[in-house]
Amino acid sequence: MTPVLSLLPGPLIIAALALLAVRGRILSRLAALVMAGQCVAAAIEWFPRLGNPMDAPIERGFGTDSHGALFVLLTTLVVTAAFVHAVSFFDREAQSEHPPVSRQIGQFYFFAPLFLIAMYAVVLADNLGYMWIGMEATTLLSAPLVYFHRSARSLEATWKYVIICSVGIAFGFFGTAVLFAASQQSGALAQGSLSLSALTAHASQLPPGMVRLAFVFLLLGYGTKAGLFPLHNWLPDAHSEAPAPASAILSGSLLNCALVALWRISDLARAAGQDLVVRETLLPMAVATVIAAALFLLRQKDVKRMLAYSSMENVGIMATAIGLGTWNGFALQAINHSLCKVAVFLLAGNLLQQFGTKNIHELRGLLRAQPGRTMLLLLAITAVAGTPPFGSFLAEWRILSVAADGGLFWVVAALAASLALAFIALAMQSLEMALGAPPEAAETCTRTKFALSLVLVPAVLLLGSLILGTMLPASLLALVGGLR
Amino acid sequence: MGELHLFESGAAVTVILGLWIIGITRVQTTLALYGAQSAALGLMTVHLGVLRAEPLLVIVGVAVVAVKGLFAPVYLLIAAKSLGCRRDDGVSISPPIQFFGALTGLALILLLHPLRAALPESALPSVGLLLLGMMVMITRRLALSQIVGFLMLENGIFLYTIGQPHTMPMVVEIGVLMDVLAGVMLAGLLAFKINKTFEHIDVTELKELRG
Repeated sequence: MTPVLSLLPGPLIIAALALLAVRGRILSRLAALVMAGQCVAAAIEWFPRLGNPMDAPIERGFGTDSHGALFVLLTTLVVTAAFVHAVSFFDREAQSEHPPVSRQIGQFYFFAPLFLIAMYAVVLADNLGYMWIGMEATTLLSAPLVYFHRSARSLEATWKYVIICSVGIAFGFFGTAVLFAASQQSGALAQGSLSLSALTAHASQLPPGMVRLAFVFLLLGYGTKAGLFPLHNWLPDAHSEAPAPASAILSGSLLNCALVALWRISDLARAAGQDLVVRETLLPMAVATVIAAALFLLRQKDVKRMLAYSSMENVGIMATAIGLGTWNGFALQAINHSLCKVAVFLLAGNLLQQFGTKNIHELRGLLRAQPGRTMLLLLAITAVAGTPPFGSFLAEWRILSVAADGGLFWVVAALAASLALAFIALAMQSLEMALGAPPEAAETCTRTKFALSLVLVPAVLLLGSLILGTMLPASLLALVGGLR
Repeated sequence: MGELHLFESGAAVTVILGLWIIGITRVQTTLALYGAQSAALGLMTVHLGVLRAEPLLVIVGVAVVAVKGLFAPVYLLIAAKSLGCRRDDGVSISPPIQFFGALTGLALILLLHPLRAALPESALPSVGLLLLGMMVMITRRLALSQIVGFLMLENGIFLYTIGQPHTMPMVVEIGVLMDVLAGVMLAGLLAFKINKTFEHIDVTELKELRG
């Protein structure tokens, strides 16, 4: 079986199990098991490909280069963590006041694996058309996950998500069509081509005006999906209304997929000699995203919205790395953000489930009620905020130094100020939840038992980020191109 | 009929139908006009396929007629009927006035021809259609009209792709069509849920999630 096809059976088995109406408790356990298998299989198949050159063989429009391989591994890891965690999440949800009916859980396990396949398609696509189809499919397949709770709020979030992202991505298709038209005007690709590798190889022959136009539309399209300011409107709603495992997948892998697409089109624009359009459009949008997210973070009252804005902040940092053209800055930040943010969403999801509220002002004394998990949550939030010794710090340092080397001091200043602001906001709000005396209702929670996986999965993810921040393994260093 | 002539008249028909949609408030008429527009695009694609002797293009054209010309409008018509929505009076500016605004806008695009370096004259109708779709999305209240706006926008992009000497690979065209189909079905379902939950489908009234 080819490497790309080998990714399919795992998710398809889970979707089939959900279709066969396997019951909730068994379904979530089987899904976690199959996903763990998928994770091992993907690691065996794709880890060696981390060293692949960019012109690695292309298989029916899907590439096997090192960039795609890295994000296949990261996406698989994130989804596996979410699925393992989902077992106890759904068990506890079943004991809540409004337990989800088994159809809701069945739908989650039907759509989530298909959503995973769509994400694989985006990160591996060499063909811009396939990349677009995959990206739109991620929206449509993840919409049922956002609507999981069936409440008025989740409905509003889902509607916004589907409409805004579909329109955004439609502009992306226009950009794709313009590139296809551009390729027909170059000598070598007169038949027209959507292949990124072919387009990059003949980039100098593409009409520059059309490349610029296409880039702007593609940026609008994939930028909407990544949540770049001012196209971010849907992001905090969708990420906060979805159930914790889905929020973790949306934040930890879907955003990465859109950013990988942005990286690939920026790379193409640079190959065509259009560095300037990337600098003048993507870079300011990215920096504005970081600033806006930091400001929104200051005034959040809802824990999950706070985490969603923190994701938006990280998207801005990663997009800055893309705008600066530093792959290793982008990749390191993506890996660290995924690891830590998934840990945060999973931990917070369970605490919120127990306390029955998402309002920061109603949450008090988490530290006394649930010391172990709250400590872990605080650590994870510090990691997300980019504090040493966690890996995000190194990544952000790297991005700032590239910007400074390029003489872009406005980027350095804006980024540093916003990062500091975001750190203060996150620290203040999470300490507000952690300290103080727990409310009466929480006392009973302390005695409830919880599964080991609730702590183990986030702890392992955090440990990963810690290792990345303290002793970057040599092989990883080589893969992200060395930390200059 | 020559290829260029066919494309020009097809483009004219679709843009005129798009303009017509801007000017009316009746949801049923809007949907019927959208269906006619998509069917015109699809038939034009079939004809182009015959002229260029490309059987794949004929297949894409037939699929466009079936999915966007028939299925999508009929599905949305049924939805409109059971949701009981007849008119969409739009946000602040009434559609007849919007019509004149849109007409002026299209004339300006034709006269000024922006982005000359990247967009040849033949691409202007599709840009116009794209903007008309955006306009419908911005200026209408009902969830159903927003879906129609999105679909018009998508028709504009389709018009651009078939205006090129070589059309996109069939896998991509069909894949996009499937995404559109799934998107329409999902959005229609959501419109039903919005109606059930909020007892209206006025999307300008959805504003619980803020900041």
